[in-house]
Amino acid sequence: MRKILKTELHRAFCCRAFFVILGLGMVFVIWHTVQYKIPYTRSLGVMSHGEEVYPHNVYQECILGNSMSVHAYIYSMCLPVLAALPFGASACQDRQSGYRDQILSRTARSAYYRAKWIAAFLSGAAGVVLPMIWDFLVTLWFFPVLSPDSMSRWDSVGVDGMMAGIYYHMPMLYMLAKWLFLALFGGIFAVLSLTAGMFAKNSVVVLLTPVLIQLLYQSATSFLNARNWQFVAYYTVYQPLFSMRLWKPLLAGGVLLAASLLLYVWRAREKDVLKA
Amino acid sequence: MYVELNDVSKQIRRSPILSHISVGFEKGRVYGLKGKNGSGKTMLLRVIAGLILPSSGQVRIGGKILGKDMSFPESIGVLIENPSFIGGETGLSNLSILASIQGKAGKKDLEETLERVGLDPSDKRTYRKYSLGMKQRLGIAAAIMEKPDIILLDEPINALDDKGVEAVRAILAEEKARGALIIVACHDEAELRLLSDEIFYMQDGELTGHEILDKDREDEP
Repeated sequence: MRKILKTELHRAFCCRAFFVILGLGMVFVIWHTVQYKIPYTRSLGVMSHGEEVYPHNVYQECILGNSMSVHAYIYSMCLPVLAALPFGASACQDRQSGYRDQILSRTARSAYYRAKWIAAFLSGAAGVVLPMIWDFLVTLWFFPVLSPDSMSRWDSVGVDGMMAGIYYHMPMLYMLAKWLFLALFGGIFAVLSLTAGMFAKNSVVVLLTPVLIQLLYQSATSFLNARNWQFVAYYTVYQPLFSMRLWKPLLAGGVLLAASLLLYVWRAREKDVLKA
Repeated sequence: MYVELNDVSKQIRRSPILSHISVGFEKGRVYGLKGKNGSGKTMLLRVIAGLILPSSGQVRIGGKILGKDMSFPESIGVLIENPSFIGGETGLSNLSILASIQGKAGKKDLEETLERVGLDPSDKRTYRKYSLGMKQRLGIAAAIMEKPDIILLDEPINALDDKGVEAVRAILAEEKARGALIIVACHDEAELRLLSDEIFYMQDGELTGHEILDKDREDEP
């Protein structure tokens, strides 16, 4: 298992798609820096609201810190496909190309599928979270590491908001929690795509499956007026709703993960290894 | 017999792909499979490789039942249908990735194998820039690099030039001398006759004929 896992991790992390995702993330960070961070540093380094003046801080000025920016919106919407791109289509591609035959004549089927699942999850998680960590580091060049001020009307988290205590007392821990949340959903979207690849023959369909699932889920929760169940509301630091509860998206994500894992295992147990 | 198929049949979506095949293969010989497209040659190779399990009957390899005592043959090299590798890696790197799964072949073995099939181990071109012939050579290299006991080659001379075909002939002779059991499916009968010691003829999923080609064998009782 360890050897095939190493092989699949190598394929997931040392492929062109993974570097493209990282490159796109960097372009995104540069775009945000030029259009948002640099102009804000020129505005005397402070935010003002009437007569009140507050200094900018790094937690609010990174991409995840301000979900009102177009950058955060686009990133949230593209997250499923960004997660799926590195390795989400690999099951489909291995099957279609015949590469799976090469591997399955060298290792047990269960080890191959387990290794592929782990590699897809980790590459999806890393693919979405690494650019955001890079963005945070870039933001550190421009803005001070000041603790958020609960009196500031500009701040992203209300004093009675979700995990507000952590946000105001240990903001770095709050950022870490956000990155973990992003990584978890990046992983979930990547394995959703991988599962789709066990059934579909077209890589484009496979890569777009997580986007479609997120859109359908968004539409359904909006229709049911259950916006605090939406994943995207939790991607950023900013909390747009008062009734946000972390267990809600985690539960929904867990259900998606379990469903995709069941389908994946069912398909992987199929005895015959045919090309398509 | 090292590989034995006992009354093997395979149905996919109720249509018979292989019907009641009983045949044995021994080490140190080259077997040819001849048949039209869709006659079941590739499926037979897949059954022996453990990639599909028979609907009825059993495959024994070295006395162990495939799918029961083991999930895939312990020492096998396959080239079934088109060769397929990672597009962004070089030939050597692709072989290294595959070889790392079992850890049976070192870097030196891989370089020697690439030279045997007529590829340059130091070639920095990635697989996606390879010509069809080079891809085929790399596929053959992957099948033989770990010196397996069983080698299954489906249309090994596809896309190869004369030099490549000669290389395949030499490789099969060397592997046979090493003691490997080799099964080759090929549509070119003249080439198959050159490569094989025995030929099995297939039609509609059934073995319809058997011909022993080497004189030494024919003289045996």
